[in-house]
Amino acid sequence: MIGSNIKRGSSELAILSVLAEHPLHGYEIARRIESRTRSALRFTLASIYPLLYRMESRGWVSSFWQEAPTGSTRRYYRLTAAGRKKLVPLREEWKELFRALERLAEAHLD
Amino acid sequence: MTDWRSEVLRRLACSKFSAAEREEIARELAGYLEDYCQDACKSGLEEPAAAQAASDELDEDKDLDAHLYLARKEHPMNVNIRTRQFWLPAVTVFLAGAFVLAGFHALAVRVYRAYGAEEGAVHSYASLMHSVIWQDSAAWMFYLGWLYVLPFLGAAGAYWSRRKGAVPSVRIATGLFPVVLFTAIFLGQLGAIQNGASLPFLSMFPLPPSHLFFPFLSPAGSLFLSWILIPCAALLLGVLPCLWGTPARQDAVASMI
Repeated sequence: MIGSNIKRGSSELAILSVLAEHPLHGYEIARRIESRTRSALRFTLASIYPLLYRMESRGWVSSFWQEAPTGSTRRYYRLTAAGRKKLVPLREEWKELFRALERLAEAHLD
Repeated sequence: MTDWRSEVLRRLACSKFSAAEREEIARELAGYLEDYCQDACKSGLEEPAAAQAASDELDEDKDLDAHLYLARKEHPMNVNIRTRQFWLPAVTVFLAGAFVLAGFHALAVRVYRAYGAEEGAVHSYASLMHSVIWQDSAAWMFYLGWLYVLPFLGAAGAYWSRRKGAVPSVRIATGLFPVVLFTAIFLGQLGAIQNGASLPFLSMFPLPPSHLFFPFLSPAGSLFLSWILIPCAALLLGVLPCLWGTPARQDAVASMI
């Protein structure tokens, strides 16, 4: 199980990554991340919406209302150009971080 | 069936959101809770149990309304990023542009006076231009000198914006921001000329009625070319090299952990 601090930090990357594929509404984003990470990352209503609103304020995502496959209208989020630009270095940063932690763990085992 | 919209509205009742915002957020969060309930029922839960689980999600954060408000309105990063990427560099470049312009103007007036323009005439555009019209090359010198500075201003704004992680469109807007000032001057001068008024400021440039620099154009066209199009192109020249390259990574680092 991943600790809460790491989860908090990786939330933005997780959301941007799933939105990079296509627009999703809040509930879909939460479920998509949960299934992709095999429940290691789980978003609730209280954790996902403040993040989405903040990311929208920063201009990384934009939103629009659209009818969902269920027939109800939902607010969808999509990645903006700024969000895509943000995602590239963010992915690299996290890869670097995990590589560094891996090296650290291996050194400790040696 | 639970009325989730009313439930969320009840939770947001004490928030600082406007009524319209509250309604919009309630609609969105109610949609989440409806989907949650539907999925829970599909996975085998009875409807009351599913509704209870959804309700628990809603009640998970007692300060949800405040957190949503902060995220949407007051989170410092919201202001900071927009300010750091656009407003701060744009306003700085704007002010630098104004100072440079004022400096060139002051220098031009000194030179014109030194070359025989009468003290009183300096404050009247038409008489000044007629008295120093033989100094056309001096006017060119000041105008071109000013133009040479503009690419550096544009580059400074765009570079600063890029350093803060801005996308190319924001870098362009930042670098070209001094055009706001030039447009204001253009409109002021155009109005003054149309009303036959004298122009007490910025008389160093190639302007109508003499508009010797661009005699093939109407006074308005000459003004537009000399105050907006050419300066805009000069600023853009400086902006262009800063459009390539990825933004700095400091924002990415800041958002980690």
